[in-house]
Amino acid sequence: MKHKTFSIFYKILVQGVFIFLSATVIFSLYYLISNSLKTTNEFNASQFSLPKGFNFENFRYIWTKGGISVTFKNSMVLCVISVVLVLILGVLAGFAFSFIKFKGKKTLSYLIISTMYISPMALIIPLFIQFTKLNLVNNYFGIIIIYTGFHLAYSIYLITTYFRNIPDETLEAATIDGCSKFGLLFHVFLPLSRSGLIVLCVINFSLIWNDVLFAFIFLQKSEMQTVMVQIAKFQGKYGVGNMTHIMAALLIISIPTILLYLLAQRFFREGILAGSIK
Amino acid sequence: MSACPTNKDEKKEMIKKIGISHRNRLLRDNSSAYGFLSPTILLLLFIFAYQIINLLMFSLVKWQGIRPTNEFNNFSYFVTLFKQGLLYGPLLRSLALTAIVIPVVILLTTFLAHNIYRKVFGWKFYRWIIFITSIIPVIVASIVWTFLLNAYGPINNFFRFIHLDFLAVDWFGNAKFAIIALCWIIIWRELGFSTIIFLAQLTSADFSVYEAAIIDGANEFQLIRYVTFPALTNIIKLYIITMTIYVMNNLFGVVLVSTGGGPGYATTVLEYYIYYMTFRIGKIGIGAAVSVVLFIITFILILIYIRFTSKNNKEGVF
Repeated sequence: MKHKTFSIFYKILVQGVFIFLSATVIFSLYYLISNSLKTTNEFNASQFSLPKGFNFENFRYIWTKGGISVTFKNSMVLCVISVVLVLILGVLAGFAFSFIKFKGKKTLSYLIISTMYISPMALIIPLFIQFTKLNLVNNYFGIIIIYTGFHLAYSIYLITTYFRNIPDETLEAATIDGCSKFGLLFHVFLPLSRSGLIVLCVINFSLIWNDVLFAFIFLQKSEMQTVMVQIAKFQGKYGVGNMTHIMAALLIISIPTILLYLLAQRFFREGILAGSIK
Repeated sequence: MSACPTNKDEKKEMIKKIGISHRNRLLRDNSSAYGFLSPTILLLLFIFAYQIINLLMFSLVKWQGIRPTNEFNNFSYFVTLFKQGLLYGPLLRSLALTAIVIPVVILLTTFLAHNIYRKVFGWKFYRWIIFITSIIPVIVASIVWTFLLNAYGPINNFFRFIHLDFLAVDWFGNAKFAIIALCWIIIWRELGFSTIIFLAQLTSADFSVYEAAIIDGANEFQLIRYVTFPALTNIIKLYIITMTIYVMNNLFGVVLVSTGGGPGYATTVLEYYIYYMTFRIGKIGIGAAVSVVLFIITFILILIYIRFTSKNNKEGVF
């Protein structure tokens, strides 16, 4: 009998916690979406009510007059170039770590993995002074270098794990067939770890897309800004007056990462398993 | 049965001739390895190694505006930092944030992952909902929660509506509550990812242990304590280290859009303090000195991380 009351109590507790968390998620999404479709008058009347209809005026305003179209494009360009660069460097390094035995491998692996955790903020001052000297502030080349550097360690780690998972027999067969190192890389390693690499690109894209710190410090001209920074600054600038515009903007910048995750979900489950657990 | 092994032996012989060892399939070749690694090494040397040296140098020279001079400053920035007690507030706040966020995330995540794994009523829906928190951009989550927790925002209005007025506090206007509000945003955003990781770890564990424990009459709390928790120990240890590093170092965006370090300095954590000193007030020397402190803290954490992971891998991290 005692056991039974306990189990009921436990079930209520579990459902309570889950329902509370789900409510916070659903409510914040509802708040975001419904208010982005309201006019300012509607918003002032009630923040909770459903919008009267599909009014995309906020989106149109924020996209054209708000200047999101420009910064959105900036973000896209930066993200894509950085992701590709990380992928190229990461694949080359991952190939060396998973396939070749060389002197200093262990030390080098520790040095590289520790860059993953080094505080970005602690390096902001030297990077900023250095980049000012080299004329790389307000320069896409500069920030792409930074993004690539800061996301390499994690990527190399994941790529090495993926490459390790390729069965020995495949490699043997390819070597016997007379495959060169580059041949192995392009014809065996890359195709066989395709889903892992897709996951990696999605993760890197969303990390770079979400970055505020580097873009905030290194891209100060308003026409060069990334969309995240523009919106972070937006909030301070307009205050509560243009809430509906901000909500529309927030929705727009959420779309790329959410879309990517959903599209890559199939690959994602395998990828996250391979990466997180050794 | 008989044809196969000989075949494999032949293969082994052949592979030995070519130069690949069958056992660990590794090719010994220093020059080509460093060829593949050279772009990575050069980039990381420039972004990390060189800048760390620069940072140490910058904290030890006198500054004129935004230009470092070549004069040694007799550790004057560090002396100011400690004598005027500038460091303690931000450092304490960073530690407080870590001390609140990490236990809550780990306990809550263990609880969530356990119950999703045990397939409680509605687990598929819950898993999906919790996953969503991790794909919403950090800045979006922060701004939305800043609005929701606003003094006259929806949550406070709701509390007033159900006559629980004492709960309707000015979350971002009050120094005590602002740090809690900040913690909530971080926890809320972190739950999704950590639950997925913990769940993945549980799924790879042995389900029969649960069955045995249930037959022995264990209740759910005992299951969490004696079965789930041990299965997660390794990942929790790793998580504590990496989360500490994360909370100390990667919250600039969240603080910037939610509290801006305020009210007063109530949420100016160590990381934000560097930005504030350097780019708002323009005291780059002090900023560099704080950066060195933050770097050293992170460095110690990285050493602990490496010590911990090297127990599992003899070959290096990769």
